[in-house]
Amino acid sequence: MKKLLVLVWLGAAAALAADTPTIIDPLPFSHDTHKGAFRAARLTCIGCHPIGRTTDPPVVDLQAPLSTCHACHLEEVPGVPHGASNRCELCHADRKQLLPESHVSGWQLDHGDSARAAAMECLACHDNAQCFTCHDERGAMAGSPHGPGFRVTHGVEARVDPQRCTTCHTGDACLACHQTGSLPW
Amino acid sequence: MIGLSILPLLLLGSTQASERLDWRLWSWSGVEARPSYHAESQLRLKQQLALSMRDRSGLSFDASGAVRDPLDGAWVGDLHRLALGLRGACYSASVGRFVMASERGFLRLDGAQLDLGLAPAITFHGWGGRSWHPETWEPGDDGLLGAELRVDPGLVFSGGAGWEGRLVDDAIVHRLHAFGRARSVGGAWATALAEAAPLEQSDSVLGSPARMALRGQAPVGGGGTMGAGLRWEDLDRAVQPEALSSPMDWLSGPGYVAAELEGRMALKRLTLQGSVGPTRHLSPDHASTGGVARAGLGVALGEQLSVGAALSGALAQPSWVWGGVAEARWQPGERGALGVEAGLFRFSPLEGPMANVVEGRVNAEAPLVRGQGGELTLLAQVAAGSDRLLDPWIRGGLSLQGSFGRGSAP
Repeated sequence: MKKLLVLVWLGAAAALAADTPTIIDPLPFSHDTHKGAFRAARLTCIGCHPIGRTTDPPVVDLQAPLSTCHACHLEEVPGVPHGASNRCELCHADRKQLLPESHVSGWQLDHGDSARAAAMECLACHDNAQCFTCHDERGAMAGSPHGPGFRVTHGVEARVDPQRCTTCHTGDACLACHQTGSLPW
Repeated sequence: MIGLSILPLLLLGSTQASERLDWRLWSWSGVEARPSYHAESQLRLKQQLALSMRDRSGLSFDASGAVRDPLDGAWVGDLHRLALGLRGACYSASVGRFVMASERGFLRLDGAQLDLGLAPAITFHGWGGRSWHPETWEPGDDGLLGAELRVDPGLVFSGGAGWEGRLVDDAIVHRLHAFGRARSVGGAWATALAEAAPLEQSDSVLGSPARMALRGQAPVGGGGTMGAGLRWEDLDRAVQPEALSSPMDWLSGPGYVAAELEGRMALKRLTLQGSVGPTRHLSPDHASTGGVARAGLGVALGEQLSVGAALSGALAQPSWVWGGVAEARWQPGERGALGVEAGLFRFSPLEGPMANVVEGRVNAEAPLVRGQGGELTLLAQVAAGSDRLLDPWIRGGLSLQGSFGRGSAP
């Protein structure tokens, strides 16, 4: 069953890899440093180098599919000890190329619901603590999540839906700004 | 707290030998000037530092704080985070000052939390301590304790239920909550949340002391998504210290129903999005209909230049505001970015005459150092406009933002 799941996963990864981001060339891979992991996962040669089915006679593919790497480096595979780094930049030249399609303009306002619906997807790239770089710190290290014009519209919007403001602010945030003339920072 | 302050050293000592420690240090220095505010020149400063350390055995340490001069000449210090974490195969725990993300909202806690796997699909989540204020960073007087059971079989559905008690004025204030999630392989998802309190312990306006929310989103093909939501709000969020009075409560407190419908379409170079969110306040004192609507489009003109425009409006009887903003952003590769935006709004306030409000903003950022180990960026912003009393304002600032570390940054 586990093998079947790994195969399904590899298939999905291969499909996703159709639009492959730039990979560091030459790929910083060494069989020597992976020996322990291969042994722990009971991986034989054809685990990574599949036998081609389209050739006659079938030959072993010496160039392992790059998606094979993700089987250990993105997912936790039973048997593989801790140490399979999930650092994308090990192989991907530019992390920005890995941005999901959902991360477009407006994502700052909407990501909370998506994160609650599928938190594991976020954790593929982000650490839990990254939420709090913005959510417990008053915008010092991240831009405001509010769009252009919010300075003008927020008063009416706060009266339309005050509970939405309390996602991040307490009620006395109004006074903090309106009494001093600027947001505390 | 004193014990916590030496934990980074212990963590460093215990992990340096194994060289399995990832860490990152962030720094943010800022200065902002308002040359003429009520005929007075103002200057304010801030320095913030944050440190995250992750040992691959599961131990972590996070600290963040700032010193700032909030205009009156007296420097103040803020402690945002000081937490030790431990994560294993079937548990995770945090202790110290941290923010706990929960279905009910962000709970800012001086205390501890624990996640414990009881069975392959069942997790116990417990927390306790005191909540702290997100603006002043001061802890509240009320102690709290909570527990939750979550069921997540890793398939389509997951959910949970829990209780939280707060000690306020020698009485325990109870809250119960339940939530559920569903998601499809195709990318659609839906969430539901309900939270309730005893009537005599709530500020319910309508006699139904509960918050309920349903929300969902589904892809509609061609790079588009549609989302919808419905909320019943007759209970304040219990995620901050008690005994805070709110101008929002004076103007318009709980006791309303809100709906939301939104859509987004991403074509090759064009992004379109829009949303409409009507609300109906049901309390006899504030019975009214209102809402917020937004529409926007963005166009990528080549690799370096993008432009956009947005319209937005809000109505909370008897006041309203509507207007639009145009913006442009130029990003020549890795060399930095320049953004310009300008907006014009028509505003009808609660009191006083209608007014036109204008504002504009210029943002610039220039990377000074960029490498695998760290980066340093200079950011500048100048904004100006007129408020609804047609008083002009202008402000500008510079900040230097950087980070460096080793391994994968949290």
